[in-house]
Amino acid sequence: MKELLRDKILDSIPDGVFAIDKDFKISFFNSAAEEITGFKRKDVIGKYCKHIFRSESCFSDCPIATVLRTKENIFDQESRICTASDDMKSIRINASLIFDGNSPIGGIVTFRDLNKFNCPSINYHSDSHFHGIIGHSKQMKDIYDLITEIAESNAPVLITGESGTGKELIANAIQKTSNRNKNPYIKINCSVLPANLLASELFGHVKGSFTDAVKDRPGRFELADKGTIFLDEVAEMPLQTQIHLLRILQEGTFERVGESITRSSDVRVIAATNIDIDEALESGKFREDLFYRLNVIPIEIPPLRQRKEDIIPLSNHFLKKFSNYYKKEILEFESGVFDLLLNYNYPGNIRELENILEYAFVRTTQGKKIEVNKLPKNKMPPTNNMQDELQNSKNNLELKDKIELVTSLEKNHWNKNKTAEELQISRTTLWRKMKLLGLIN
Amino acid sequence: MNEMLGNQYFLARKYSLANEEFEKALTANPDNFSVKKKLVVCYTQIGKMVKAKELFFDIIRNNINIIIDTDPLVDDCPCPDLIARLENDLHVNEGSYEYLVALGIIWLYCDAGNSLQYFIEARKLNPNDSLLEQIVNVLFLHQKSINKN
Repeated sequence: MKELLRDKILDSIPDGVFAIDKDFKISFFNSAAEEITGFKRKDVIGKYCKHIFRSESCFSDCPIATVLRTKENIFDQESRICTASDDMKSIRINASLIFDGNSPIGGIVTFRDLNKFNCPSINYHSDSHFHGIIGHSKQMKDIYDLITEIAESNAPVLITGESGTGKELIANAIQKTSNRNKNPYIKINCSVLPANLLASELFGHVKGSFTDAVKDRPGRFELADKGTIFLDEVAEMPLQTQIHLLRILQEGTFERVGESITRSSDVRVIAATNIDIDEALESGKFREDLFYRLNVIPIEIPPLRQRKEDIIPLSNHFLKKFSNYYKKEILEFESGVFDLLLNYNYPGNIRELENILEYAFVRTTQGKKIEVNKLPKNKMPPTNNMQDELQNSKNNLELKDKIELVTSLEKNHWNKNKTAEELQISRTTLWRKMKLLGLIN
Repeated sequence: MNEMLGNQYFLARKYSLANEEFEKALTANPDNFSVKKKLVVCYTQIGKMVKAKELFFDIIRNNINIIIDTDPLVDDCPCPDLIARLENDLHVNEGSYEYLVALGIIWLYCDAGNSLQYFIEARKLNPNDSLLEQIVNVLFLHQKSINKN
């Protein structure tokens, strides 16, 4: 009975969910997983997950293996799987382990169809987005300007920023706007692979170069020739591999592991890290020469708490995305919700905002608006005098102005005539206000 | 942790990594025959042939069916691929003792008769290997019991 209820609950959610036992055989597969993959539950239960998904990750960076190795759950890792009709599908996955006492007895993976989740009805090229990035703050606009300016360049880029600030989106935007946008774009997370496999993944290997090398295999740099490679969490790279990366940045040459033939590859490198670079340089964890090679174009993404005016467009975007994904039309916020959202500090940045809103969205079962009491109370306890607090603070007054202005601009798709009309101010006053609040340069 | 991580490495055919995890898992639970069965394959692939022989004998003297009952398809057994590679290498290395033993071990996951033949070939090259002699005896008895039935 309990199992039946569990299955009903898991079948009612739009995320694909599957569980595996400790042998990596599938023990559970929900309805959404059937829909996303095209496989029927009865055909996959008891089968090895690698035989069903046939993903490259199964052989390089299996998410469950990563959780086992790092003892940290996986959130939002992008991957590609093969569907029942042999098409490749991009998904975003979360993974964790199932324990019996202290011993893992299996793993559970939830996944989303990225094509479906990246709401096709949202126009990513409208005024309010820059190649899929949401945000109008001055800091973000400066970054968009920089990305546009460097479109012609092949110079390496180093993106820094706290976890959840959207470093990968910035990397994607750089690739999309570059001259290399029609060529291969390969991403690799340097922290996911064991140290001894990373060099082989990046530079390839030849048969017999190490025990498991049963045939020649090109590395990611070879596959990305004439294109772009995104090295996420680059500072986690072992020092020995950093030397090889330095060489390919300096000379464009490398050797496959176990081979003496020097190969070359023309690759634009975009790297990212969320760690304190100064500390990593001082402790010797990250090579100084490599840092200077990578840091030709530095991009620092500010944390969300330093650009709170982006919270409103981001919140509206996430609401659209969830409405599309959950097939439930909730596109507005009850008054007071923004006050709470704007007063929170977001240590987990945009990813945390997204999670907070998804939590509230899922909890909203009646009505068409996100209500204050649906927000997670441990993070945003509602206060009665919030409005008063806002009005008493000079900073918050400015923020309130900004909220009003951005909300109206968003509503009118950043059409300045319509916004001025709605706010009953002249177009010049609107322009002046936008400039004052850092919404335009 | 170790057994499950070892299982993933084994599925990904990363035998040296799987070997490390399985050895740790076996230290924690020395009677885990599911781990032993895969660890033997890892040993043959990373050249630890003495350990491979010892562990192989440990399994077959306890219950030879643990290996014989392997279904290459259902169990995602790498042995058919490994046999193809080893037999090719054996040809290149002109009947090396190590290759013959490795093939004897790996063949048991697919076909007991072929396994015995390779061990007999290996015994010809090294008649003083007492462990090999014991392995041949167990396999011979097994074949005999099959023929009787």
